[in-house]
Amino acid sequence: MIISKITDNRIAYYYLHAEVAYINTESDVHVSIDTFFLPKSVIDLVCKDIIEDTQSSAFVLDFDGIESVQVNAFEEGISDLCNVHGKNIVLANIKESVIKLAASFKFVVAKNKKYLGKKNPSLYSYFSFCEMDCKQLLNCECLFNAAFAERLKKYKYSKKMKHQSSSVYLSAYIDIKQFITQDKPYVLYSIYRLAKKIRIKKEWKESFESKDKPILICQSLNGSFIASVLSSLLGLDLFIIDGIGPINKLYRSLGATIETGKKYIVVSDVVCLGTEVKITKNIIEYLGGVYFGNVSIVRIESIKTYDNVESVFYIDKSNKKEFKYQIITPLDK
Amino acid sequence: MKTMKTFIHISDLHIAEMKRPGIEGKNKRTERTWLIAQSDKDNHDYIADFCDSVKEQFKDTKRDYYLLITGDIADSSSELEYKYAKVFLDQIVKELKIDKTKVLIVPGNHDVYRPLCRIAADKDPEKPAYLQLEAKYSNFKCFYDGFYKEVGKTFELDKQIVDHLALKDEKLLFVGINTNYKIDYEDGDGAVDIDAFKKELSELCEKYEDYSKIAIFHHNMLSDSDESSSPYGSWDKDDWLNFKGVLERMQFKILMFGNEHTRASSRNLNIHRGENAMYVSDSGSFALHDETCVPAYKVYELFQDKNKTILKQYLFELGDVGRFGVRKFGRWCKQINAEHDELEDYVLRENKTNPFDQEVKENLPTGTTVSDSVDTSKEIIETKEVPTETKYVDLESLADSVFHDEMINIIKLEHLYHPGHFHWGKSSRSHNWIDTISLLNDRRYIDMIQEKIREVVKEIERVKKIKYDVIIGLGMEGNIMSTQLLLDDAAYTYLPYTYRYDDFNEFEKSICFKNNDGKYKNVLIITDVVNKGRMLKNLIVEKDTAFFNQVEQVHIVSLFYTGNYEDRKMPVGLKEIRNKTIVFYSLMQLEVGECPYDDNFENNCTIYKQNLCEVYKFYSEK
Repeated sequence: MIISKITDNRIAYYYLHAEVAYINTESDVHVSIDTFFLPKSVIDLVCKDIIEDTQSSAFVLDFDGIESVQVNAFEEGISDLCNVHGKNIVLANIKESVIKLAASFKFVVAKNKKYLGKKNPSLYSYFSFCEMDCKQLLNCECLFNAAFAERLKKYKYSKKMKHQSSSVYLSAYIDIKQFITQDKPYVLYSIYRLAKKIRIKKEWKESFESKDKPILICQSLNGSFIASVLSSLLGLDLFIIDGIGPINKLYRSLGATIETGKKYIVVSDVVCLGTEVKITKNIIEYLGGVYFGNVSIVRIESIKTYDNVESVFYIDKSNKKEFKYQIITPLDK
Repeated sequence: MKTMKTFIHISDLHIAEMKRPGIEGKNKRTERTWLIAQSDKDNHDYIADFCDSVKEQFKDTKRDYYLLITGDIADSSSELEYKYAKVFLDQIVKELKIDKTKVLIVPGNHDVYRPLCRIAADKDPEKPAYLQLEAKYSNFKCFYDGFYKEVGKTFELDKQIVDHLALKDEKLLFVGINTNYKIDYEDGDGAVDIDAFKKELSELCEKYEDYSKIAIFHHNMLSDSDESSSPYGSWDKDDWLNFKGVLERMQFKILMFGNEHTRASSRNLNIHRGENAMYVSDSGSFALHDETCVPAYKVYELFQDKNKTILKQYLFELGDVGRFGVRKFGRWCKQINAEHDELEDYVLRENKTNPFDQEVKENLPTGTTVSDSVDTSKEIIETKEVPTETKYVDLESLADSVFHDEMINIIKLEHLYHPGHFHWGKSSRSHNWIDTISLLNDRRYIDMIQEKIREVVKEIERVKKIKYDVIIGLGMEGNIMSTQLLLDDAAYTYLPYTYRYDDFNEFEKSICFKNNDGKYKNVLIITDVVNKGRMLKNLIVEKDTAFFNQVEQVHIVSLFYTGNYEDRKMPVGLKEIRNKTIVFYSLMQLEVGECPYDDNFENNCTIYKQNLCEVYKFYSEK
């Protein structure tokens, strides 16, 4: 299953590290962000997808985060795409050390010098097998945000409704569950990106390198889906609090409890006013744990907080009109 | 005085005429039957004594009698034999005050009129002789229609289901079946037109979905006679398997038949002990007597209390033949069931208000891994019109003692087993609970369980040659256990447990897929615990009908099964699901303690009432 493909202006982009984070073969499934090797199975999957794509005029394979590849598969795969299937292939953000693994690619270097770009001596910003102006190529970050916004609008329902956790009204409801079920590959890609953000976040980075890793807390059905995937990607433990949101009905837990001194990151689907996060935070701290922050798929930047937060996507002043998202109090009605 | 429903079962009367047309000499059968087709005081006395024995035995209370006759009423299906059959049966219904609407008659192979069947077959060689229905049932139909004239019933030649009796208050359904489909002028084995039978039965049972069902037919399904050592009684093997399979799927409780002239009763129809066991009862022959058979009849009393609905069996045989002062045929004597290898009773329903009546979520320390033995019955190809086919997953290769042992160690180490009172609803209560939520906190355990779930699912796909259209994770636990399955091509969604539906908003309860066009035919459900399976049934049959109506197969993989051992391969709730193929598999099994009290537990349970220990409630009280 390809999860990271985004098409823009007839150019298809693949973010290979995301594909590598979710490997599904006949005999094995491997979900982890801590993998930097591009195996044959992923190369074959991507090549197959490219061959079957008759609409796109060019294909960009972003190697950001890939340290090494399965050489034969890589070399043969790319060569076949170019020479046999006549595809226009560009490798982006690829290490020179990886390029060097493929003996035949040095001919490409010789032939297409103007179609190569280097960010630094050891990294090609782009390595093109075709005659293409690679400066026009977009980076994955921009692509992702634009594509996410478009997709999110499909799962936003304009419906004035009372917020279930707080005493406000919302002009729209973002149905993350619909998003998850209808657009599963893209959601997996989104959660991968969230996992990456969590891993590199300055305030959290150190804890990942220690024995005292944070624990992911989920308190809703949507949250449990997201937290479970994050837990697999990051290798973190989980903690389930049954029933904080959207309808707040907490059930007694007999066994597991918040451990004193342990760090907890609250996993949410959509954070609006942060009421559910606050409830969870209070429970964590009351029971002796350390509230470490909050992560979500979508975050409405309604009130500035000083919490450690990360989200896949933000709705703020700059784009709220695009989403027609409003928080209305009874005083505004 | 309360009226007790009482069912009288007689069979194989073999009313015989003294002389058969075209045959020299006396009909030798008349030497072996007490009921002769002639005006005879002995016949009258025979029937009268029978009626007296019933009245005497059951005089203690007011009775509402029903009469079940499982075929071979006549010996050669002649008009004369049926003339007297009507006389005898009218005498019975009059003596015992049985309304004819409470009499259920099915034909036997001797009720097929062979001479006319042969003639019809000769005239129409293109058509199989056994399909010469008008000819073969000509005299039986006359008798049947004549007997039931006052109540307006007629015998329909081409129907597999002859008649039925439905007792509304007791939720009991007797289904009279014609098993003479393949009988012609050369006799034959028991059979039904299986496709027609399935259809008729399905239509009938739709009206009586939650009734306990009893099948009434002629041909014996097991053999208690030395004459035949076949495990399929008087049936061809394939026909037997097909017929039995349909009855099992429709959850018939008892099969009543005759034919072999040897009375018997048994709990299990041959195959796996305890699995979908159907009782069988052969009443023997009512009037035939020789070295091998003694005339007999049976009576079943219907008992209902708060715990059970049962039929209590009484066996009567003709004894004291030739004894001074006794009529020449002897007298009817009640027998001791145990001394005759007969059952005392047949359990139709157990009415316990068990903890998992509505929605169930049990957790318990695990026991053995599931390892299903091979179901030797022939698979029947189901069409959409056919009711539920419950299938066993023959996955012996998956029995994994390593996984089982590891899980047991984890449960002990992490103290995941909790004794106490746990309530998931007013009628869903248990003692003991295993904390799967805590189990799914540790990354190491999550990995282990996710991998095992995936391995099992892949094996089921391989064995069943199926590809799932959609996977549903139940609850937060289901979501977590299903993560490795997300990378498959199947669509994925998740739902809350139905007993917690009030705690979730409409978006969370939505299945998110439309299935009007039948796009999603094969569904896999991942859950942590199944006990009686009623929560799953509730989900499939009541909560998401718009989606599940078009689903053909539902496969359930559960981490734990905590119900009764007998139901481990198919929990009772899942058996009640109609019009779908259900497959159930659990990674580990262990029975949980059921709450022994009914819905009045608040008054009856001292522990609850007196707050002797904490009761953990996992639902919102309305």
